Amino acid sequence: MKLWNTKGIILEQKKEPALSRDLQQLLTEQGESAKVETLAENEEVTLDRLIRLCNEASIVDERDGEPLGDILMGWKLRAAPKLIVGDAVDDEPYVSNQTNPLMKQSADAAYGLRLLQTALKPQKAYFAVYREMHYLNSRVPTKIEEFVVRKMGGKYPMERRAFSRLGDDVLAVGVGALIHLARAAKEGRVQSSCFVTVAGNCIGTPCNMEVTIGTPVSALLEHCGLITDPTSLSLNSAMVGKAVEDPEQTLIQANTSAVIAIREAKKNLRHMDCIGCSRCVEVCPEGLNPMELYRATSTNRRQTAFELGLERCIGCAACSYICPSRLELSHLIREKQEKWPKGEHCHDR
Amino acid sequence: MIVKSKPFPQIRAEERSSLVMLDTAIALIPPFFMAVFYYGIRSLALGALTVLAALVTNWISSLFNGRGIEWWDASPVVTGMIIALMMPASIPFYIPMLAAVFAIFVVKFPYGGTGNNVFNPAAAGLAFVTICFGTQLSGYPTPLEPLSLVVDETVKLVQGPAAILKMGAIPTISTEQLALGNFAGPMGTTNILVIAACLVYLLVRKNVKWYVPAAYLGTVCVFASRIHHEDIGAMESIILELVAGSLMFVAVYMLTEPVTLPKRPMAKIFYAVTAGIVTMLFRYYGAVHYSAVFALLLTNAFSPLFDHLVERGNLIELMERRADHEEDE
Amino acid sequence: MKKMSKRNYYRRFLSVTKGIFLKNPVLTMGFAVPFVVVATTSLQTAVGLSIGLLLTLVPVGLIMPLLMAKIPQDFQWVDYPLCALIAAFFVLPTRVIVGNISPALMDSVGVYFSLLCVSTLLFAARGKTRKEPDLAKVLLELVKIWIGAAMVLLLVGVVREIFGYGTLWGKALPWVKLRFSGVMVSAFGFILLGFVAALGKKIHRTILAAQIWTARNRGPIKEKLIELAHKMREDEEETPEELPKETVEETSKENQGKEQE
Repeated sequence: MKLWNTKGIILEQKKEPALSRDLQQLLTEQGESAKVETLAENEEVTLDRLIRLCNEASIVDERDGEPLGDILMGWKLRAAPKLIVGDAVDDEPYVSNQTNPLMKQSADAAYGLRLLQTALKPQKAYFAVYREMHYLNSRVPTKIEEFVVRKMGGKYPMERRAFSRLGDDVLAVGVGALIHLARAAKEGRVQSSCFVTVAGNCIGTPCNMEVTIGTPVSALLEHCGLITDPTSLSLNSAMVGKAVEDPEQTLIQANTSAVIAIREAKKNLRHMDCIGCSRCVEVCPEGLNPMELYRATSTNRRQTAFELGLERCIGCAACSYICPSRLELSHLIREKQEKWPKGEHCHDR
Repeated sequence: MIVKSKPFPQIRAEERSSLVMLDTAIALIPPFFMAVFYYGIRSLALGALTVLAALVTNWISSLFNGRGIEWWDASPVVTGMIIALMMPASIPFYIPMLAAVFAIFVVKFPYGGTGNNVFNPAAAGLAFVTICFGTQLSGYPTPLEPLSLVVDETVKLVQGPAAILKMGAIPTISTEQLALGNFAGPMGTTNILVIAACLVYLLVRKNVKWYVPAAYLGTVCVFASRIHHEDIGAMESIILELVAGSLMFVAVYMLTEPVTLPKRPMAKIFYAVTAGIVTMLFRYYGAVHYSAVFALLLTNAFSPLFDHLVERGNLIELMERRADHEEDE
Repeated sequence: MKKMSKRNYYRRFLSVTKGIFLKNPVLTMGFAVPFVVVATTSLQTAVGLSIGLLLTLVPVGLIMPLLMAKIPQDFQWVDYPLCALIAAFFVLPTRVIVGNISPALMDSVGVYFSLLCVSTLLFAARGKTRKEPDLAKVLLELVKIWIGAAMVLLLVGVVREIFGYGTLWGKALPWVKLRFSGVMVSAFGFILLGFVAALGKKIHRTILAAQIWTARNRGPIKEKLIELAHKMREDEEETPEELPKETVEETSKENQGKEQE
């Protein structure tokens, strides 16, 4: 049954107004000093040359934080990929740090993808954006220079599964890395910045920014303005990101995609126990039963929890999102997942 | 500035538990309008007293649960309204109140309270009251004759179409009477058009999956079209079966209760089909009253079994898929 | 243990009435459940069944340990059929006696009366040790078990008769207005049994909780606990203090009591 891959939840993507605003900049001087050798006019673009360029410019793929040079080195030993995708898919709410640079700096993005296409010679190359973005202030273009912009649909959590569904010989590179590659090739600039979305209902002017790596989070918040005190400050994702306790001590890294400051209303606090509505069961992408897992983990029944598939939880927090009683399902299940290592289960106490 | 966050996720869907339960309560109000139209203010009084009895019992039993009194729990309101709507309008007040108290105190509270009931509490309350006061539940007043608050012997009680069908006769109801619900029966279950409209409301609000009542009613229609009196055609038989008794009401409000329903889609369909088969069997071979309610109680007991079977099937498929995946590599 | 029992009246009470309250055979061991659930629909039936129970339980309970002490180890499986046979031997005159006391009772209990033969099987399992039993002690235990079972039977019988027929021992009670014939159904018997068991457990737990509360807030332990709280607040680190020996014993005894349930 196809139900496995179509499970998940369509989240309300609150990407505006950050998505359509112009790309802002918050660059400090220290990032501008180094220069690398640019690509000459008629120089032949080979994979080795690109790898050297990436290593010298220390370009990092923002999807996972891996240096682009290492990724391309891995492809050196394999057959050419059939497909190169410029990843501009943002399936998290508020986050648009790949879609916005694609729209605002499309020439650089296309140039970067063209370089890769020339070097690796795949059959196809295109950009990918998330389909389920509605109510946008501006249209996402369907074509950027000669590359098609494909819309990839799916329910959250989608990004992890979407590219693996395309197959094994697919090279997916983040749009930010492509832009930095283009800059390194044309102007010889070393990557010292990354693209970050600053959004949330506490932010005065939500926008996408190009930020020097190593800037403290408080500088971004000051730039965009905080209207109210946030109840939560998180990096990368409002669903499964990293919590920021002290914004002055936390620094932006190369794979930071967003800073989200949210003020949650009082009514969103837990006020009842599980009412058995089973909405969580419908949205679990792994096909687990979060309702029963919650009951088993909160009453310390280890055997039952393992029988229900505790080790398969990926922690996407879709169940907590939809729970009408505002239970912390995902948090509790993950906590017990760490506390009870697999294989050590004994009888229920 | 130090920000201490709660665990992730930081954003939530808009719906809250109280709204989920209130949706069902709102969907139960139109049948009350029709009941007042046909039987007068007494229906409202019945409803209010039953709901009050259910609420008070819930508050008292939540004292024992160790979580303190949960004042804002709206599920007994739904239970009370369902019980009241399934009663004839001329019934003495203490009977639906007793049904509500039994439903909450014996069927819901010992199993863990809201969200943990094994059997549908309204159905179990109705079953208990049927066993205790069976005769008083089988006589319905004729509609459009308003009843006073105190019902005495002058009110004429007739049998509903379900009893007539059971005896082998054909109830004489004209088409417009059928459409408007203008015949004898439980207070809220005679107007199937109003109930169908409420079903549409619940579908739109996503409280009910469409395939659950569809599977149930489909099974009922299949049975009704095959087995019927010689003098009536298949279509007439289907309409009569749907209209008679509490079937439509049970299909929309009681079958779809999310706590007793299995959790997987295929399991829900099995559950609905089984409930339909048992309902029709009870109608043909069982006692007159509340066939759908008793059938629902019986199927409630099997609901975890359906879940278990479907999950086992899913797991086997997952293992096979993983084994294929490993073979490919 | 003895020192504690002297002060703890509730604990002493429980150990004296061991078969009646703490380990009630019907509520905790499932003894005679079919009678309670199905057959006990009025006070008369309850009394009749209690008498029947007494007349079968005591003889069988006294004879079985004596016989089983004589049976060699290899033939241990003979316990159960032998017990049932002896019980049947005693059920025959019991049936006649109870039938003479109240013929209406035999009609209403009907076929379930013969279940008395197997209700005593529970005691066949007790005589696994092959030493000579102390008859007086065995008799006392049996009587306590019977009192416990009879209590539950009578309670269930009274409740069901009042709510079901509105009578008590056949005499109508004028102040009972409602009659629910639903309480005669065996399903309701199970429900009632469950609620009686829950009620008993709740009473037990309430008494224990009250004892703990008084011990903490009123007794000589109170000052020691307050001292302890002060000390823990003064220390920066949380090192577990050595509790005075009495507290440790008391709490462990109470834990044992809870586990016994």
